[in-house]
Amino acid sequence: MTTRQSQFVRSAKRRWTAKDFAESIIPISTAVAVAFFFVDGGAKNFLDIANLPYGIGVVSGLIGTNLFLVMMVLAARVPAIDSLFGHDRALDLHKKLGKPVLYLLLVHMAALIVDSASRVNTDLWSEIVTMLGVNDLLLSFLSMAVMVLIVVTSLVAVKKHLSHGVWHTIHWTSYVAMYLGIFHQFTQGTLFAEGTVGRWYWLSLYVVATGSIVMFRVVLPLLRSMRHSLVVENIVVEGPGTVSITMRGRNLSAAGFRAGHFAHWRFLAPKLWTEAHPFSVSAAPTNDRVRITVRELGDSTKILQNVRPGTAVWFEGPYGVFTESVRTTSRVALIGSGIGLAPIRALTESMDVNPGELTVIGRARSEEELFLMDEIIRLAHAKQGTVYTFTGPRGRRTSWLPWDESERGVTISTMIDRPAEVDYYLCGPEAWMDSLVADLRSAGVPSHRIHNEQFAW
Amino acid sequence: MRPTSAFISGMATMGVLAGGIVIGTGILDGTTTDQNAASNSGSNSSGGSPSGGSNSSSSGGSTSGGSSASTVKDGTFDGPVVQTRYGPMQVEVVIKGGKIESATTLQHPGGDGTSDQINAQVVPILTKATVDYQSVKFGNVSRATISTESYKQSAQAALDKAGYTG
Repeated sequence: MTTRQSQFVRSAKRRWTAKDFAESIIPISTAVAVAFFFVDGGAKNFLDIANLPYGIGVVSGLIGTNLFLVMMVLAARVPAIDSLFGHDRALDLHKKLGKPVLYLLLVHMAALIVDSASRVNTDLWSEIVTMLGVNDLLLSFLSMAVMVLIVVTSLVAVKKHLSHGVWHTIHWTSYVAMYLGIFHQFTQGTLFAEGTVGRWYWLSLYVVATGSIVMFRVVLPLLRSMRHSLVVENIVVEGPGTVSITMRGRNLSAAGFRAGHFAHWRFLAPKLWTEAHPFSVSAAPTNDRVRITVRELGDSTKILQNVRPGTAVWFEGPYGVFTESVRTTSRVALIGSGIGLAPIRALTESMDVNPGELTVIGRARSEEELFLMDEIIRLAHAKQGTVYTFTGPRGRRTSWLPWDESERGVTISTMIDRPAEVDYYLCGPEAWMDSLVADLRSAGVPSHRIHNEQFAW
Repeated sequence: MRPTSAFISGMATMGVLAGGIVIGTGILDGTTTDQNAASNSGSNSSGGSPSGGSNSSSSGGSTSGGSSASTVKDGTFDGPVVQTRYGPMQVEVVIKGGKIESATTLQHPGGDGTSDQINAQVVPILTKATVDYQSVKFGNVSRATISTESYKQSAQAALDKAGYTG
């Protein structure tokens, strides 16, 4: 093994260890929350059928709330989480936790109503009415209602009927739900009562979650935007509905932009300033320039009409782990489809490879949608890399290649020698990436060598 | 997560839970917590038990800062009726020789004939703790926050009447 190769392996191992540490925070913090209840004598409730609803109610509430706070942190775009897992993976987990957290909190509510009603020997309905008369509990009922609304509007079937703006506005009320629910946690029951260690621990979780959101979603983007003062330098049409925008700014290296990163860009121009859009960097960023390539059916026209050289740009980012930092070995293949070629273009430019170590594959429905391909070919050839391009409609449903090639039996193994020993960077439409990943896996490529990024925001 | 890491974090998770159970049930020191705990004296170090003075009392009544202890009147003093969502709570304290001789509840939630396990268990704990600690500055009783709070509020007001500041 060469020194260079062992460096890649060492850095990959360090990353995996850091990731495992970070991931284990989730189960361990959840256990700590439950342990506070057990230390308070709560475990006994599980030995007595009469106290079972109480035990279940408290434990589900603790787990649910702990995971709710984890969800908040996952959506806060914390740089450490982003650079380990990527924003898309963090959001994936955030989405996966949504329903379980709701169910846990519903169980919490139901079990404690049952417990409370049985203790005063009344029916559930009058117990609920009594509870609604207690301010902190009334607020927690409201919090529950808001959470149900948030989860329902995020179900795929419902979400597709809502505009992104409406959904997003509803989703922001999570913070309202978070704080409506907080009071009863400290006033009902003794677990987090005044003078307990648990009270401080539990409060600190809220401070961490709220702090991450305020810090990394508001303060840091604002500070960076002001500090680097980006303005549009020029706009170039790359193909149908697609433009490249070069922006000029101060001391951009300090923001940490790298090839493969994306950011949410907010053009301070009419009709555009209200929304930030996620676009990938499409050239290796320098200290004073960063370029993005944009293809968005509605937005590109708006951008063409409204963005002019001199337009100021605010940004949230850079985000993502679709960068050289996740590399595990010396040989690299960069594979992009359509507008997915934008980050591939940037990576082709910046990737540190020796002659023969780089393969770039461009894929599109038509020649004119092989965006930035001329630049990619020039950059790859300068590094003595190999370039393949494929155009035409997709072949078999399961193939990432056009019809002719898939019929001829072209696969990753026919293009790349010893395919399992290569790092793959994939960017393109989801279904296409799924087919490509399947091809890579059947060629024996281990999953840790496959780096792909979904567009997620 | 790699298998080894998953194993380690799984063990850590179980360890935290097991630790909580061990401390909470007092398996190791042979004491019990939960509702019986308040009746024990301060030797019980397990979580959830009231520990004299260490918990700040959040009773509604004033905690009588400043007044001299020499003005304590002997006699029987009734606190006000404190309404809770489960019913009224009223405490009577007997002061003798400047000390709390006894405490009883004149009314307590669920005490009107309806069977109420919790209060039946909790009230003796609270009255005994009041005498043991010679104040209501003990911690809350698990699962009976509302009863504890209302008890303390009524009892503290009764103690204030007596000019008791201990």
